Amino acid sequence: MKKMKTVTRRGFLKGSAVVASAAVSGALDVNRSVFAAGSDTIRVGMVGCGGRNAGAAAQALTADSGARLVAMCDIFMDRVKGKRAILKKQKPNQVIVDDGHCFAGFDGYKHVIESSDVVLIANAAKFHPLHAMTAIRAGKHVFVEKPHGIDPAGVKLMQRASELAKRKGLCLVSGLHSRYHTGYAETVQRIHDGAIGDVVAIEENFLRPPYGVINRNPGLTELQWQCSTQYHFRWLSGDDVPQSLVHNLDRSSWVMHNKAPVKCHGLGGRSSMVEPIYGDVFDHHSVVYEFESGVPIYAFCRTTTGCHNSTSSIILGSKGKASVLQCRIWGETNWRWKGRCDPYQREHDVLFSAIRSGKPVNNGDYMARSTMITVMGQISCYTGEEVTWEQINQSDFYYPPRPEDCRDDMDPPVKAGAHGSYPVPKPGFTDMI
Amino acid sequence: MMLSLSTVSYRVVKYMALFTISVAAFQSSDMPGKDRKLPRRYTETITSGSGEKSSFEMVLIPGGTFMMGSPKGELGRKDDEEPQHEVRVDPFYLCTTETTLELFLAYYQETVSAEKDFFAAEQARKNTEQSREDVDAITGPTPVYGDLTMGYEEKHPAIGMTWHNAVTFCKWLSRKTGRVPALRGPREYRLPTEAEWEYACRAGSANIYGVGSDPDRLADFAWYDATADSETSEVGKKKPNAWGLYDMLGNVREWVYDFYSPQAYRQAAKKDPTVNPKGPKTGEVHAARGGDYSSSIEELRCASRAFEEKWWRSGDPQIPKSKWWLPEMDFIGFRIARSTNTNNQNARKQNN
Repeated sequence: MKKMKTVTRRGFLKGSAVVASAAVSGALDVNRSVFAAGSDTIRVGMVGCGGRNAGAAAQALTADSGARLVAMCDIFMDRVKGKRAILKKQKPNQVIVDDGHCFAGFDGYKHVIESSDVVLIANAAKFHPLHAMTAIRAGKHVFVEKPHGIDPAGVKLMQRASELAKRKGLCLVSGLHSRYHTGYAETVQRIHDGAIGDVVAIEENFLRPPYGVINRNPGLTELQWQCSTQYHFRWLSGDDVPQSLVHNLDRSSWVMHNKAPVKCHGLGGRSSMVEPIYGDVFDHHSVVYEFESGVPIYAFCRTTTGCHNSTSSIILGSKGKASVLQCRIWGETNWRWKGRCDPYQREHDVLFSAIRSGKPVNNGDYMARSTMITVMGQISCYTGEEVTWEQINQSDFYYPPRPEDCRDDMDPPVKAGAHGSYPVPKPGFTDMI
Repeated sequence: MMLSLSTVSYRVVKYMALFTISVAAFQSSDMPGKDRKLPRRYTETITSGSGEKSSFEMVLIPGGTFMMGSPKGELGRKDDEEPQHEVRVDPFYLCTTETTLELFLAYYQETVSAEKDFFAAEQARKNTEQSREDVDAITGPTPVYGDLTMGYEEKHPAIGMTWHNAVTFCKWLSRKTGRVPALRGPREYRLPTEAEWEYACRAGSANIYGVGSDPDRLADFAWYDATADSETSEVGKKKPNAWGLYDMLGNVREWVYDFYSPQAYRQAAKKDPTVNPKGPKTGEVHAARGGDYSSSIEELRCASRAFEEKWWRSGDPQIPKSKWWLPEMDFIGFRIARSTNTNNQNARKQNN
């Protein structure tokens, strides 16, 4: 019969009471804050002005009443101004971005970082490592959305950014929200405590409709067009294994005590998303990973219309099974979590209380590991070859151009062919690492 | 009273039940089938794009007058339920069950915007630029992020849609079934008004739950915190109320047409009686009635009102929030209604 249920209303009400009391104690701590020596204000900047970063900004301003949004950038100025207006309406006293702090183009991030104490990064994933590293070098705290890189060179840069943040005592919080979901955390803890015996195998699904398709505005250059629909271009987004399965594979790795699989083989291609408007990404992927212990992960993602949709993280054990997303365990132990959690808000509650208390939070280890697991799977799907953890970590492959070399007047690295469609990888022929 | 909530005994509840039954004397109603042109119930069957058939049953709700809101002293009563006031409702059809995932998936698959269908929709939009209504009819929801069913089977209620999405479903269903607006006779599908919903929930009674005032009997009629395992159940598995309606209480909350206002009844009560009220003209959020699988018995009272709360959007980390989806919120659904538009005049005369 049915099942999933991550939420109950009463549980939420209970949970929100806890959050409220936490907020009160947080407020008391402000007086003893070590932040910004004598200043109550934390300046927040947005790198990327899509829907997700606007959401993150609202969560940041909700998390800390002393936070002020001061600077914003995007490839497109209309997105900056549009999101500024929406946020201003929601948080009129906390959004103080003047026209001089609205930036457009590839280099806008530099100006936002200069103006901010905390930088929220949610733009094309190609730029996440560079923008995080630049912020941390400049002594700024960072919230960055997943995936944390799209290629081995990018993920390694993110690793270095994380190490630097640790040395400098700066916060680095990841948008891999599963780790901030109290119900998932309790489920994983129970698995670790033996509720389903030994883990035998893991099944991961993220099957859903395509990313939004937008009409091509004839006023845009080819480069602008690709940036405006970045999920459909590999050099910007890294495709769907890093984009979607990163949440699933982050949970798998978490269940496996934060280990990475030793190897994988992947299958992928395009079935129905073949028109030019879908760019050069695949629309379905299957990746089989294997841990050193022999435990496999069977991982699937698909972005098609009219097909079965499903999102799940199923852990099969010797004494039962667990569904992380349903916060539920069946078998020798039967259990379900009855609570409610807003992990997106919690990410920012944790970040800002860490900044205020002077006890930095750093998610760098799992964010780099989980992202590299997806990059490994994606490249295996493109090349058709088995890829090992060792190989992917030795590779310095990146999708050209390097993020720091992107210019507003450059030609995009991929161009449509004679029929308007973009070239895609051919497993068995494509060579990447 | 010095009694705290937890110490109120069933004796008190039963006492109040006696009290409210006396209110029933004020009740008057047209019996179903009085107008021979209108069938008492009918079954509608639609065929989805992939050829699968899906049916639901509509039952004629007799027109009549009832007391909307709760009487002073009803256990669990809230301020927005007062004053209890007389409301006159015309006959209408109401679905015997909550809208199922099966039906909602058929709608979703035919109307989802953004894909393949992106091209078809673009073309259709160009073809129908003159008619705003046509454009609306084909502009379905954006793709859901994740899984629309949230893992539930097809006979469970549809869930996690915004009010706007539920209203768009009704427009789609009207076109799909050819139930288009007409001057006479039954009309298009729509959400019930808040008054219609409460009237149907009471089903001619004036007791607390519409199926009696004894909370011990609710288990036969409703999925709520004492009977459900923190999840929705297949529709129509408990007993129906006196008018053949299943799951009016519990399982999922049901969107109604009206904007929510805590003052709505004070406004409505200025007219005596209120005829076919549709709630405030403007508002921020809509009402959703009947409680859900996790509700306490207080929320299962026919008079209990609820509305879209801020946290219903907490599964959507984006801004602006989706116009179509309330991700992870598996306790909100809806039930469809349809006006009869036949004997309105008679009803009004009778009332005056």
